[in-house]
Amino acid sequence: MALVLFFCSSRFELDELAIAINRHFGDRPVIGCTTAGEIGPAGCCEGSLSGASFSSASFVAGSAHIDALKAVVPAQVETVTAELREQVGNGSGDSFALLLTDGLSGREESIAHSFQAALGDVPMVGASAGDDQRLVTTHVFADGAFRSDSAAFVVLRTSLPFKVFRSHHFVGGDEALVVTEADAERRIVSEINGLPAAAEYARAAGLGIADLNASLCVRTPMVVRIRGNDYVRAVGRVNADGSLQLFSAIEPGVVLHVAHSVGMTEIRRALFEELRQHVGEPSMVLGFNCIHCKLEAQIDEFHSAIETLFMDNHVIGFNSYGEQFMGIHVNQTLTGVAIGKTEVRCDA
Amino acid sequence: MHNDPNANELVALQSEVARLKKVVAALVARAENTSDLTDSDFGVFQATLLLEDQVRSRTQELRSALHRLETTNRALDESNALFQAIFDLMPNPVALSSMQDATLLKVSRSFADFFGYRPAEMVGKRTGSEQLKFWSDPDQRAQYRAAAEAAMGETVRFEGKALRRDGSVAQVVLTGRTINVCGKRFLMTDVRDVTEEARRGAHLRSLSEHDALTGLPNRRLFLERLNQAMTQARQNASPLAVCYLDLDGFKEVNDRLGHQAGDDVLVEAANRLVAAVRGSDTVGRLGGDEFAILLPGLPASGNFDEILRRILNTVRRPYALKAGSVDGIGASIGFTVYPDDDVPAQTLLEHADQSMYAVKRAGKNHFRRFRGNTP
Repeated sequence: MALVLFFCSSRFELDELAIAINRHFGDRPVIGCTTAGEIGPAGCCEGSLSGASFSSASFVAGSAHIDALKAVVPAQVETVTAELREQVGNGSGDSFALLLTDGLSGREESIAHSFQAALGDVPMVGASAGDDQRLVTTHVFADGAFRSDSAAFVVLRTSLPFKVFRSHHFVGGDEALVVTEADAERRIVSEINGLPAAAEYARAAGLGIADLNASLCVRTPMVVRIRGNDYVRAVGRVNADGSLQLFSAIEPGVVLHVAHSVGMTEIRRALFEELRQHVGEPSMVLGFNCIHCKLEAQIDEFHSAIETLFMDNHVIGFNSYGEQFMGIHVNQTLTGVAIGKTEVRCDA
Repeated sequence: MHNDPNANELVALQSEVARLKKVVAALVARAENTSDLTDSDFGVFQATLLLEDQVRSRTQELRSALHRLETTNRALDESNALFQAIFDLMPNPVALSSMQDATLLKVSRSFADFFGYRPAEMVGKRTGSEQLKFWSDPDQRAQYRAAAEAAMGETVRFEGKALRRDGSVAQVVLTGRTINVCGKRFLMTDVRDVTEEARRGAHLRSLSEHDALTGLPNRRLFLERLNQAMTQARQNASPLAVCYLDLDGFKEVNDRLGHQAGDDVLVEAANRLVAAVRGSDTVGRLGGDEFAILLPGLPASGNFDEILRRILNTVRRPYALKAGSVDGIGASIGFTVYPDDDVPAQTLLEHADQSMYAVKRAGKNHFRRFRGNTP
């Protein structure tokens, strides 16, 4: 076994779970994190544990972790990445990288960027750990223990075909919402357009402040537009002081737009079809589905369609507080890697 | 008319202006700080995206450049293959070499075959190098290239002897022409193997200069040799004699025993004449039963009786033909001596002929020297 990956509810007694895992897997490398919901062969669950193992027959894995993310500098990520690449070596097949990071550290942008920069051509996908929507503390499991303010780094080399992906389904409107006051470090927006953030966001979404709730936040998130592409800045919580807690980086002067969905189910159905064209029947799709996507599907009552898609395509993963893809940290996406069954032939 | 806004409206307007100012200030501050995006997490996010965008577009550019390169390479390969195919279609072996250093750049398969190499063994090597010796006489290589150089783009024809890998030598005619492509000069050479032709030419020449029946030089070659001998005679001050010989009794044999017997007599007589003279002498057949004999390098006080008698005697001997033994063949010989008789070759022959007729008139089977036109 080259690697074991698992995703578990934050409601487990984590210390006892760690003991059980260590007892069961011994010296084998095990990486995991807490979630806001688990995805596995049984569909989309809560309060459970899902996971996958990567056989040594098809994979070579390297893994490491970094603690104290708040103080981490790019050089540390570079060092860790170099170690991983050494562990994995230069044999046959191609490599991809996984990142599991604390979902409340607020350091995903920097870490994802540093990791991808150090990886070069090796594509990276990742996700922010969850805590069942309590937004208190999230954990990453590495080196035999659950850790907060920590990130786990994995590089996998395989002769199986694989394809990394990021799927999103929101398009922003025209109206510009200028962030005029924000706490960048804590990802809190207190003012938009010179007005209290929550009220102005509600107005732009066509509602009163009294109607601003979790449903609105997941159904009409705000996006930033960069080079014509929209990236969701998910609102995790509306604070009592009228400010907004975001799941990704923000700062004064950033222009936001209220966005609407263009159809999650159809977009994901097309995604899985495309993935199958790349890798054939997948042996597994590691999928990191933003908690807001899950909520959106539940609110608009198409969750079972999404769940069926996941089960049909052998998705193993979890509901995350953010997703990482090729060096960027994003929200409200489905991000991951699809892995095929049949070895890639050299003469193919 | 109360056009002035009331106090509340004024406050509202002022607050709106302040709000808009704040919006503008936030935008301006961020816009002005974008030079160092990596200072903030959002900046990192934005920078990564822009970088990814750049990488994607660069990757796209690279991919399309690669595609263009592949397309160009394919076109180049096709062009090369076409070039080679055209080369191979040429009726004669052809080769393209650099004028600068004589490196072979392309050869047709027939060129390689002709010299006994594989094309790959030739391309990239210099002609005249240790591995590629094409000339039986190495000087001819330089002569050919110099001739091509001097022709300044016009076609040059060069005859030489080519050396094949197996050591055999072929007579060749090279047709060369320099061409100028992209500032570089090349030499296109067409090789024609004329070994066989040369051999055939020599045979044809022999046919045109010899008598088919006896194999003796005919009148043309005899006169040519006579001319050469006259030059030599002047230079060496040693006289030469020209004899005109007509067989006596030949017509009777022909009439009595047929043409074949006549021909047999002619061949036998020719052989006897050749046997009777020195190797440096020339016996020719002028036609019918008339022969000419050139005797060069005689002593100044030449006495010709002995040799002429020997000739008469050898002709007179009986002829053993298939039809039976034939007697009664003889010869009448007229001769003249140069430079005593200082006239052109043709006239010498005429003078000898005249003397020969004089012998005939006097009773045949003898010889007589020409002594001027007055008998």
